[in-house]
Amino acid sequence: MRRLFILVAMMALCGCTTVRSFAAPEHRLPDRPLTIVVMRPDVEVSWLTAGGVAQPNADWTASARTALIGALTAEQGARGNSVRLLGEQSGEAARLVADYEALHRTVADQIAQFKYAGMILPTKRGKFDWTLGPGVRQLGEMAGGGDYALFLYARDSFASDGRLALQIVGAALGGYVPGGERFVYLSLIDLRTGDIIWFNLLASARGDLRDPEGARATIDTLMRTLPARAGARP
Amino acid sequence: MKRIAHAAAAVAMLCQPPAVASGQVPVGYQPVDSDERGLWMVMAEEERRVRDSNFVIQDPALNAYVRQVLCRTVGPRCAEVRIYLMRTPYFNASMAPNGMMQVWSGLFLRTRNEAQLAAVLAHEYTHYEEQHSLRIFRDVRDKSTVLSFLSLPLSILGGMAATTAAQFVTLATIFGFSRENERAADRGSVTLLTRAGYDPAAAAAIWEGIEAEREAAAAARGRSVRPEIALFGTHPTSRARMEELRAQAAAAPAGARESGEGPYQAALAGSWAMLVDDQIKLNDYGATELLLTRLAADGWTGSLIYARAELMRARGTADDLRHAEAWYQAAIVRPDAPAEARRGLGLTLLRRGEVAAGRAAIASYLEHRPNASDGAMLRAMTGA
Amino acid sequence: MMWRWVLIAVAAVGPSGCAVFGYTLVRPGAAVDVAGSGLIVSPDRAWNRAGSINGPGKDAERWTLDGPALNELTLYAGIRDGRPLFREEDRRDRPLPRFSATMLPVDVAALFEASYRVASGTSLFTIDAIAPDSLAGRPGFRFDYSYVLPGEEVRRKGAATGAIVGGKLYLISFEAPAIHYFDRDVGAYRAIVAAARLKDDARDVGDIPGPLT
Repeated sequence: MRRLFILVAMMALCGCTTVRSFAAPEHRLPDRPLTIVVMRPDVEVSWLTAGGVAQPNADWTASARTALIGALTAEQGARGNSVRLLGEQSGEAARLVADYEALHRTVADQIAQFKYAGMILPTKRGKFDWTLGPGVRQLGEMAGGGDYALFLYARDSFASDGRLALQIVGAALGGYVPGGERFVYLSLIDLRTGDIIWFNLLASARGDLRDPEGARATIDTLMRTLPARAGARP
Repeated sequence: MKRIAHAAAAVAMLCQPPAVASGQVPVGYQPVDSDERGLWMVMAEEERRVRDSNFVIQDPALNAYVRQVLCRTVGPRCAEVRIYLMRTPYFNASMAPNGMMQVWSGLFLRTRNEAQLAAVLAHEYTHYEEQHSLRIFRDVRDKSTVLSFLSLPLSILGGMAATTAAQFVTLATIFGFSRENERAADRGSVTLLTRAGYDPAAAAAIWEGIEAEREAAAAARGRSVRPEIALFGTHPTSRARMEELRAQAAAAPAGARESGEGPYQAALAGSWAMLVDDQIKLNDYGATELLLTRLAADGWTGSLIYARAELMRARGTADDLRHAEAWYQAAIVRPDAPAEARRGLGLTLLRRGEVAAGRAAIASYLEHRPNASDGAMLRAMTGA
Repeated sequence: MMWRWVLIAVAAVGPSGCAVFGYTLVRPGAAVDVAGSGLIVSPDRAWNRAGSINGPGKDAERWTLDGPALNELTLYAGIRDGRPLFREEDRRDRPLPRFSATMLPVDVAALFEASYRVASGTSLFTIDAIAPDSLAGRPGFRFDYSYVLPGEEVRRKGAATGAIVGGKLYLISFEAPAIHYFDRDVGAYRAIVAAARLKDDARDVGDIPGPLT
């Protein structure tokens, strides 16, 4: 995690946007309109105090959540796919969703460690074959059917005036004080096998997830590497 | 220049007093200002995780009992509080600004009667009522240049090692209350205890117990006691709290002084075995021995004798095994000792080289528990 | 200048040839001398072996297929009397229990359980079953366990097989999420356990008759 931190900090340092995706090489999306089940997005938007504490903002978070879901729906719609949000569950179903969310967090954490943070598993060289197992079918059934499940994680932050002042002072002294940053990842799961067929992560010092335009730009950038349908050229 | 003026304004804004300056959160309160709404949002997310956690103790009777004690202590506003009993074998309770209260299971071994449990619940409730976590959050934020490492990138993927904002806020709410807030919560708890007819001295008694436990743990490990437990580093020292609480209890108006030992014992009866087992497996001989001795204040029951023998067998020095044998022997003749005492006796005897007697004790255990999960292993060990 | 890098490279590689940082490949069919202890295992598929920084301690190795949080094999190779199972994180306030050469199989399972509880702070750990078995041809035991780590909430299952040989503990454990991973990969662990042997026994392998036959 520390290495990933350095990686992201360095990307933010050059003020650029970095996107890096991995896909299961042999997977082809079926050549027909698809249904994507979107798991409850994990979103948090904060403002950075002068001291660098990310202070969560409820309104911004709500706006970003709405904007991201809107952007996902539009982007998939343009591909002829439909998006279905997995609603709030109760009892046994809620337990099952929590279990899969926990497993996905753990798998995503291993992907981050072994595909992004510089640590390498020799058996995973040139491969991308993490999975949640075929039990994910139950999530599809819960949503009333679907071809893929999508997990979305997003963190966005904006520098407060105090933080901006600190950045100015820092720059004047020749140092670097990070300002607002956004960090988003998407993870697409085949609901028949549970395989994570595509994973894409974006880190950027630019943009704004709170407004529809910024959310769309982020989602479009991320979705650009989504594997092609079977009929299309790879 | 405009930016710097803004920055100055931002600093001035941060220095403003909290929205509810009088300190009491009104009934049916919903947060209005942006700091607090952000904090509630984070805690609502955290509460989703807590609600679905594997660690939540579901036992309806125990949950109902803790709620009943809270309601008796703080009155009808207990309805604003959601209690989660967490299976974690340490002494702690916490209160989030949105009304989520967590009580760790290790607490039940350390409060000895209903009044002491009420003291902890009243203390946490006072944090809630006086909005301490919002204040501490503002305080931490304002002083947090050193904490800037908590910014965004560390929360990547929300993995176990990542410090999410929720964890940060939780840290702030669980461990970060300032000493002043702790004192205020202590005062509030004594007032509430007295009003509810509980013995106000109960609050001080808890801290006496914690202090004694730290000393016992250190002594058994051949070490000196640290001046402060890290967990309570931001809290006043136990000793200082004890003294203040004692003084406050002495000054409390006269009235009913109930300790509620009977109801407490009855409510926890079904959970003791689990709580004690979790404690024994912490490999903390000194503290565990002290806790068991304290539970045995009214006499050593069969299950307590068994627990003490288990503790000795777990550490397993030659002396421990010799003593454990005697304690198991004392347990098995008691009708209130679990059949597992025979298992413990058998295993102890085998380790001490008394093979025939050991096998006999284990055979006797297997007669009582023919479907034991370790039956296959034990049968093989006894040659049965 | 070159020599300095060579020296650093040599320093980064332990005596048993395993790297300090990162993971190294364990090839299927390779005979691996675990932590130089004389416990020899041969995996039926490729594994990743953690370098000593990520390892459990001097007398053990940790292997994984998809990442340690998803499938983890730990090979304890000759834990001596008075030693903890793995490296202690907080020796002062959370010391681990110690192995004793006089322990019975159920004591070893209890030691394993307490070590996990202390190291991770969890109370959700149970030994679900324990039965006689053998490891490297020595009479021993196997046990199944399950646990949840605080803050992570992934339910995991585990299985372990061990034996005490010459007062030292040899134990191979495998754990993975209860969803999918454990059942999928437990076979790889069973294959390793089945083929495990001790170096001193090497000459006994094959059809050489024993002295009494």
